[in-house]
Amino acid sequence: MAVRLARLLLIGAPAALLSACALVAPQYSPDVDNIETLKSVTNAKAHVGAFDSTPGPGNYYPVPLRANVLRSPVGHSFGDYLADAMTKELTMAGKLSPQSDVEIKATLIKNDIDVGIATGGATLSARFIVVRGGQTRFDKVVSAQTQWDSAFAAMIAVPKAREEYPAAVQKLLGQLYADPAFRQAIE
Amino acid sequence: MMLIRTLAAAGLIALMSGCAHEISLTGDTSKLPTLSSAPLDKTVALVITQEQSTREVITPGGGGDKVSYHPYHDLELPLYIELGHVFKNVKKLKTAPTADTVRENHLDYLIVPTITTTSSSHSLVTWPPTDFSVTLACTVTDPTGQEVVTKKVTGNGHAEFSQFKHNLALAAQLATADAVGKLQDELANAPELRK
Repeated sequence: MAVRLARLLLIGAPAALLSACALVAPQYSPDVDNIETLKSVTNAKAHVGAFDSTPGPGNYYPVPLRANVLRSPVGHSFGDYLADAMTKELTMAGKLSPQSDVEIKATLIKNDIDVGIATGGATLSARFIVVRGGQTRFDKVVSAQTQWDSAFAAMIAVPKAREEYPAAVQKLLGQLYADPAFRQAIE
Repeated sequence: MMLIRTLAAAGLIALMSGCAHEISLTGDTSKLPTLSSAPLDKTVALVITQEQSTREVITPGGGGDKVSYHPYHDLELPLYIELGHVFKNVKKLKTAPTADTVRENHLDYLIVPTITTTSSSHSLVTWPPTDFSVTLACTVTDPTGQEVVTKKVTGNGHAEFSQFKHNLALAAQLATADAVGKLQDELANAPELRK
């Protein structure tokens, strides 16, 4: 116990000086269920168009995580992260085609991460538009929420929130792909 | 230096609060090994139940700390990709398939993985594991439940501070890539699966 206390005193002071660290979200890892859902749309082929993000309450960039902030590992916003996520899943499902006349566009409306003391949560919302040959075939706002066990200590809670963020994006895309109107629009 | 202090401080806080540091075993799947041979013309189902996907495992890290992760969830994508190199069609199921599911999906084989892990660190100061192992046993059965072949492999990962400072789960992710790569080779070379 004395050793632990000594360690705490030795490193506690410099640790306390750490503030407003910029973290980078993990690279998006495609969700197998999402890939399977996309694969099930027999004749789907699409390309990924412009994905942007409208800044505002609940959608700041970088995303505040207590005294830290979270940045996207790709592009300049989490709209770019969402585009990268969809590109990876369409690619793995064999449904991405740059030559396709089906274009998927999106605007990230909400991208909020709550690093609570007991429970953490992410709330994402995006407007997805599917255009084919100049005609809009799908235009909906899709939302997703995830929760996880958090902690009082920021040094535990903040990295945990960072690790949990991609699961919220997986869920958002999973809800989009599960929509029969979306599947019909990309077919 | 600042990173060492941060990791050490996070370790102490975790130690005192009883929390484990969450890591992901998945890693960069674009770097997984591929096969030079064409995939077998078979349709297989990878069976990972919901209960397995949400199962959390806690093992030792450095400095008396622990790390937590979800091995079945984290290995799902690497396994799915590597099986896709061995077999022409791979599906993922959350329950053992019924006869109707087997028929509808034209399944030739069912693949049920069992994953065990170990981790350790020789560091007294930083919490990320420097050594990690993933043991992967895969039982392949035919649609009637008859065992065709079982393959068991162990992947190992090692990362020192200078290597893991930008990816705290590096040793675990190296072990995952090593394990699924070895499994891929074992399955691709199994004569039982070529019948």
